[in-house]
Amino acid sequence: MTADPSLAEATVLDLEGRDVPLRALYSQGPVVLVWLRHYG
Amino acid sequence: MRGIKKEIEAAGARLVFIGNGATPFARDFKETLVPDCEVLTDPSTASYALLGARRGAWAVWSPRSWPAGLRAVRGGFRQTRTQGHAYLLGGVAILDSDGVARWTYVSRYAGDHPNPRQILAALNRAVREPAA
Repeated sequence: MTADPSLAEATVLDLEGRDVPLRALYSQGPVVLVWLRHYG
Repeated sequence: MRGIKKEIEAAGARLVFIGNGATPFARDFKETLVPDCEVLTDPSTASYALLGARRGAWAVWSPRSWPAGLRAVRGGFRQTRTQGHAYLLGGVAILDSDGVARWTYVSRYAGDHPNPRQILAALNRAVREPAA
């Protein structure tokens, strides 16, 4: 399955609840993103 | 996945976990399980949808997940209270520095994870070969 190209524009939250655009991660170099099923 | 963090970093990349629960759950996950890793969260699950993550009770509790569950229990892992969306699966993506998804893996059932060697091979390809 191919990810939607808009994935690169997604925004998530840091541990304080602040927005973190994925762009801020990959713009510094390649990133391996692991989406968890759950934390527990 | 955490076991290949050093190799990921040696390839010039970062390893980042994204969950879907509230930020206190994400903080607890980081502190107790992956203190040396970057953890973010997406309670909206919008990024999961863009990844193509599967959702639904059948996706999570498919009989295909049972052997993985047994392996986890035998390995000493115990699922505690679900902290996030109960019927949402995860996945992995490697984004290059232009934001292009160079490799993705979408879990097909609970406990379905890519082989870490697959991830490293894909990462090394992404680093070595520019996107077409």
